[in-house]
Amino acid sequence: MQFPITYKNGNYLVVIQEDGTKIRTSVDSCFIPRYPESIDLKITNWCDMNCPMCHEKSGKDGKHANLEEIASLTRNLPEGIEFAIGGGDPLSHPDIVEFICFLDSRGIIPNVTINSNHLSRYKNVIDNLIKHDKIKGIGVSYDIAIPLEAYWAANTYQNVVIHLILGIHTTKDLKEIFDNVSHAKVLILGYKKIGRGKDFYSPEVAKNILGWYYRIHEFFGYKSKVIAFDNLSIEQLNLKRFFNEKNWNGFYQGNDGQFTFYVDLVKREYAISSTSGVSYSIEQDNTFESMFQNIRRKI
Amino acid sequence: MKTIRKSVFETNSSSTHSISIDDSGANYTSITPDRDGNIVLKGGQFGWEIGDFNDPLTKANYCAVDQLSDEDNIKMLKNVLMEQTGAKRIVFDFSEDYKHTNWSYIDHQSVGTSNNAFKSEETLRDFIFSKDSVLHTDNDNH
Repeated sequence: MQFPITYKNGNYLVVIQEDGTKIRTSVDSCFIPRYPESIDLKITNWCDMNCPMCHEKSGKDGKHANLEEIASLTRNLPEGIEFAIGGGDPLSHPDIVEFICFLDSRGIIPNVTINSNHLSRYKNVIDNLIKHDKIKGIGVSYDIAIPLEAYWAANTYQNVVIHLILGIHTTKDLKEIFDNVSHAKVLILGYKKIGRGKDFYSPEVAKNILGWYYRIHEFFGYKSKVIAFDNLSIEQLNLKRFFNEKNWNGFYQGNDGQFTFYVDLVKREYAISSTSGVSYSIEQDNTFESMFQNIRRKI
Repeated sequence: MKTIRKSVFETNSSSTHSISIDDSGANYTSITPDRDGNIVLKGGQFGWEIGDFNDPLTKANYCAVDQLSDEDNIKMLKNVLMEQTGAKRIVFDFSEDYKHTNWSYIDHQSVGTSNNAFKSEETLRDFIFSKDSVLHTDNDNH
């Protein structure tokens, strides 16, 4: 895959650089996309972690999705669209390597998120996929029980993003990561009060989120590290308080469903996001483009 | 029109990377409250010294000392601090009495210099928390 990748999306241009930097430009006063810029794609509900806060309720009884339709679903998508492939444990899917290779051959950027407990299990797979330039971003869900030395991928590769969850992890964890993991980039996720997260929520979780609210500003620019936020964490931390209008408009990537959407290939459903509560069935003649246009009409 | 996502691919399997910043991103900062959610203002002695202060705690203390006798402005100061930091309480732990541990004062020629910042909550927020806003203290002996 040759970077930078440039594609036209409706009334604007998207440029994606080698480190994941994405720039949208338009002569118009708003962006009107034809295609999703990224798709949050669930390919399995199988996972052996049984995390108490898992909003997907993934487990050992979870099913893998049938990925045979991927060629028709990706029809018309331009090169440069990103897929955030997740689960469950996406690397447990028996067809994962072929799936990723197909996406790569189509010019789609495959990114994968896995649990840190699985880093050693999938070391060879990840190394090979990166060595052959098949995947770009790797998200790693943080677990405090895993020593930081075990985050070999984040010490080795540039495009690893460690995921922390408000209410579960702490700002102390964030500092530990920034101090000890050489290429650390961190994504802060909001706490989802759905799935197992609904029962797991407690005064302790609320207190932890408040701690993040108090301290998050201490990490802006800390050791020049990159820090990213999802929409839920932006809301839970009231992140807008740190930006003037110009910078906010320049950095904010949009609401869920505006440029992205969620597809659950296990249940054959799609939605604005994995937490939106309302989903639509994938019909026989659907493509990702047509699903996205339907989502755009709903928001 | 232009937006930028800095240095990350989309790896989030539940929603999107909606803000991604490095050290050039944020315009405003904050003050970290203590474990009980308090911000304690201990005042300060802002005399003849020439100095520039960019940190929000010093600027908040300066405002508190300068406006201590103005009830409305002190109320505004508390509101702005709580709004930006999430603090539950703002505690004033200083006095103009020199016997107090945190004896605080502003040189008589500088009293009222923070008035402009108190035009509105927005201007006060800008003064205390904007990274570009600097409190400059000086004297007239030059």
